[in-house]
Amino acid sequence: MELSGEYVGCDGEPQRLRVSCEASGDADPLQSLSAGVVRMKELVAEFFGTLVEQDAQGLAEDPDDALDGDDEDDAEDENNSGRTNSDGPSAKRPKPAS
Amino acid sequence: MQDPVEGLDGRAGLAEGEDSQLRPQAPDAQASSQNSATEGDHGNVPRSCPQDSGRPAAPGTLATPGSQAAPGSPSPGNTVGSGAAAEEAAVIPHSEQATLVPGRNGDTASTRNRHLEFSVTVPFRTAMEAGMARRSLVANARPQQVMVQQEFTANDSILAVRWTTDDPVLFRISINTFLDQLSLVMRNIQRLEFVAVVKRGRGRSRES
Repeated sequence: MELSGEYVGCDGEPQRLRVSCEASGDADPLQSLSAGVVRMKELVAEFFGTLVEQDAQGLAEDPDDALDGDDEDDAEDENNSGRTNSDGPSAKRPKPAS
Repeated sequence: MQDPVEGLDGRAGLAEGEDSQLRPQAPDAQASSQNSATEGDHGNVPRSCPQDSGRPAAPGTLATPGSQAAPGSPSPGNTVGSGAAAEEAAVIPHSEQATLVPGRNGDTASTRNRHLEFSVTVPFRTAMEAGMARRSLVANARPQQVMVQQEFTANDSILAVRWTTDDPVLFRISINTFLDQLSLVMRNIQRLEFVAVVKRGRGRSRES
């Protein structure tokens, strides 16, 4: 008896997880299968844990984030240009006094 | 005496030459025949010889345009052919691009639209056990169908379960839940067998 799992990702490549559930001697086959299920849970947790981490890293390295950063820089430039415009009137005020 | 004879021979030779040259072209032949008649009338005058030599040049000049026309006609054809070839050359890359771009886009689209899949096969001892497990697990899985698609199949004594989703996190949650429930189902099956054995034992003791 073998408890098997297969994962197919975006690339279409299958990855298999296998757990042997051979009953030893007079042991109950269902008992062996239950032990196999426990082992499969461990494998699944390990496998998908790695997969989730890779997915998170992929999102972190997304080029769109860089573009978002550029947008922020552009916003700051606009703010600076606004400040420059606000300095204009203050420079003109001394002229009426003379 | 011989001189007049030689002169006649020369004229005859010229006439033959003109005829041979003009035979391929009927209009030129007629013109040359008229000229030859005139030449016959003025044959006594030696000055007419240079003029005669000049006149045959005209057919040559006429022939030249014909010869030019012959190579001229293929050249436009060649141009048309080269144009067609150019068009074909231009079209082929375009068609190739057309065939490649959809392929690339198709690959990209298929890659983007491809769902994640996970399947588990559980080998029970009997078809009855597999059926019992399937019925129990299907009922428990219904609330999760909204987020993750699950498919349960019992083939003889083999239970096969397949998940389809886009999010690996949901995968882990759903599969772990399934495995926990599977363990519970197996325990229940064992207990049912135990109860059955006990009942059989009691029946035998009563009979005895």
